[in-house]
Amino acid sequence: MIETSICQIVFYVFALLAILFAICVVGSRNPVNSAMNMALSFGCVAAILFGLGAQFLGIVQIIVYAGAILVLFLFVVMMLDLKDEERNTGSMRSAAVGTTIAAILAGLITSISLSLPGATEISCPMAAICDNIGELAPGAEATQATPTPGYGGSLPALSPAAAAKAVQPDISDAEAAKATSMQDIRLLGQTLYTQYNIAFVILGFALLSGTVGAVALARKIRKD
Amino acid sequence: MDAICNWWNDLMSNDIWFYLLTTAVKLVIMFALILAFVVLSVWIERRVAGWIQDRPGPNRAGLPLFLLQRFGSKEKQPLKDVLHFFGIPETSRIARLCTWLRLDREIPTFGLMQPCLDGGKLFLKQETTPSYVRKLYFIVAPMLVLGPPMVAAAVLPFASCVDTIYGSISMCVANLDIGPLWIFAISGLSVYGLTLAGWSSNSKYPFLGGLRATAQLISYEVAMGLSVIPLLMMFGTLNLQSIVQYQADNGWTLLPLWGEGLSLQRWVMMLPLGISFLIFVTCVFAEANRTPFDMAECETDLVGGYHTEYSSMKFASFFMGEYAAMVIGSAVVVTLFLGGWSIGFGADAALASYSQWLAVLCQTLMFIVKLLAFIFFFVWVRWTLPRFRWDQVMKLGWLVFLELTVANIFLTAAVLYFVK
Amino acid sequence: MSYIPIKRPKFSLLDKIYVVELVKGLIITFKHLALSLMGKSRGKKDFSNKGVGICMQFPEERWDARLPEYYRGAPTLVRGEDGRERCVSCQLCEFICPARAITITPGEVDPNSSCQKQEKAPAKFEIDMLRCIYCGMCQEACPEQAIFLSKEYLITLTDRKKAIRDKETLYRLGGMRKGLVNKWNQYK
Repeated sequence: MIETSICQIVFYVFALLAILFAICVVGSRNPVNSAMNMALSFGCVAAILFGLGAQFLGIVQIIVYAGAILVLFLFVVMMLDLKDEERNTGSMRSAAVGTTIAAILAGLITSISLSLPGATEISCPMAAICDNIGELAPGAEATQATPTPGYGGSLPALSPAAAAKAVQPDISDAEAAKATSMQDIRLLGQTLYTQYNIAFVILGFALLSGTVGAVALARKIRKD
Repeated sequence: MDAICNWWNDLMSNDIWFYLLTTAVKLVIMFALILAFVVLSVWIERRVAGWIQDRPGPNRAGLPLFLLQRFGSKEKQPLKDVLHFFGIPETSRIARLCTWLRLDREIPTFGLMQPCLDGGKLFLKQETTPSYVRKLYFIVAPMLVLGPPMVAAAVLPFASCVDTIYGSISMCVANLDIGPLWIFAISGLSVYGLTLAGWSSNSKYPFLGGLRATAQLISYEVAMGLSVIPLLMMFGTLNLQSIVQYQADNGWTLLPLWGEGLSLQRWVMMLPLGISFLIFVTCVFAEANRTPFDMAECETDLVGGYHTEYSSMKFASFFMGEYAAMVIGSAVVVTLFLGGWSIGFGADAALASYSQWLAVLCQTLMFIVKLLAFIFFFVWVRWTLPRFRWDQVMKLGWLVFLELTVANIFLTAAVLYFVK
Repeated sequence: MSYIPIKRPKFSLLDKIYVVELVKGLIITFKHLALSLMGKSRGKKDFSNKGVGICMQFPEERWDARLPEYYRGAPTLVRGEDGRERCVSCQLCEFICPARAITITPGEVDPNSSCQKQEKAPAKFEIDMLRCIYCGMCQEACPEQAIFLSKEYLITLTDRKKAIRDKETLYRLGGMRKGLVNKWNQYK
């Protein structure tokens, strides 16, 4: 039970910090402060993902969001006239619109995460997944080569076979055993390119059109 | 005595304590190694720069013997005492050799003390913080530059593993399954340091330096991440320890001469891997802000770049951060392409079967030798190439490397699929 | 003003790929490195220094023997062949000195001197070596050929007060100089 409480504490600390920094992003007048707070918030989210055993997702969170996108934000924000920005007080209308959108998003995420298998059974989210795995694939611990210690060095890492079962509950035990040799990256890749292939490709096109649009906007139009 | 042994046994038998203690020891070793290498690479940089320019470089800064004289040896040259003690005449060849090494005046360090003394000087210098800077970010920025490379080093394996009676110790601080990604992510965070330093200085040249640093680091991070994908496709794992183990068994990435490395597929793979190597090394140069790409602190057009307004130890931490990034960059290249700690030609397995501790020692030494060789290469390139122009840097990153790496991934896939 | 376009070289594909050229450059620098480590750098023969590269190891090896005739070191006062003090305390050097390093207090000529015609001689003549910039203007301005720049370049002090050189020191450093014009002998 000690393990559960440690992982609970760490999870809630990072979750609270993430929310705190997120509030600071909206609250601070100085755009650079906002950007830096956002980076810290991303860091906390990455830490939570690490704690859940999703190391790949956590590190991608840092590489893509904290390491690239936010730096670009900072890049642009730094060129603003900060005195002008600090004087600006946002209108009530934009605040209302923002709150509504945030509330809708939060509702969506909550409903989706509650519909995941085993989400409502145990109070600690990490323990929920770990215990769930234990029930689904009893042989998982034995096949693990070296358990990567999570928080406090005691939490067993998310075993790939069990994770495979957690994502796709309908696959057979043989397939789950096959997935033991794979890591969460392969698992993620397989899920993205098989189950969610169409959505993934559509997203890719959306990003591409965004890029093309940005290039078209930024490009100087020559008259000759 | 027995009580202590028992207590130790109990302590080490506990998985958590065993993990914590071994990790702490490895952490200290790794940290000391990196810091020592920062000093050493500064020395290598200055010596090699000297040799390339027909100068000796810093060759003084020995430990002067007058310090000894002050503690009691009174007027006498210690060298003469030593020679007399061994009964060597003062005109013999040995005595002349000692004089040539300046042993009569100092204990020679061949200039190795120079970086330490420079560090001491910077530490004792007056710290000036301009009144117009944004204080918080101005203070945080140097930390953000020095910290990430040190943290990134955590996943680098410096030897294989050892089986003890309490459990197996993998010679790598954190044996994560996302090794290279961890390094890219964490060392990529140092861009915050450069950007914030440039912005918080509140002065135009540092600002331009910060902007350049941001743009450059982001551009090359893309190509860097894509250029290792062929490797990962070949290894099929992201764990650096297993990547190096694979290379130890089956030939280094760029030297497939034993094990499975002699297959046709591996030799055909040399083409995409060679391209990967070139691009990756170039990107490491760009990420470490080293000379052909040191646009951010290009003194000819930006005074000193992002660290213009910094002085004393804050400047020193930028300086050290740059060299730490260089050391980590070299270590990553060595790990991914040049076999990491592996001694090669099957010697690892043979040594490990003889004695695992001996194998680990030899492997650590091998890793250090490879690292030093690659740091030398870094320095060699720096004193050969002139700095690129800014638009050339951007063009190279976005128009050449990005396309080339994507094409390279497809080429690798084709090779892996068609050549068996 | 006519405008002449510079002819840029056309790069072949091999040049554009850059790797070959890079390797060529690396070979050149490595040659320098190896030669200087072996102590065989180019031009080493003309410059007989020991050790690595063609760099003079300063405190042990010095340029002294190779300093040119016109070398401008520390200014000194000289005596003529007759041992007479040549300075007549006209203070031109004091006025021309851009760094204001020279301070002269005029005084009477030593009554024991062989020549009394110049009427004045410096009672005090001080040069502050912390201020002196070795420009040689004092030497140029001197109508008496009394002040000359020596070849002394290594002035290391542990005390600021020692930086001020008085008349005796300056004469000692300058010594006797031959072949100077003795214009005071012509006047009766």
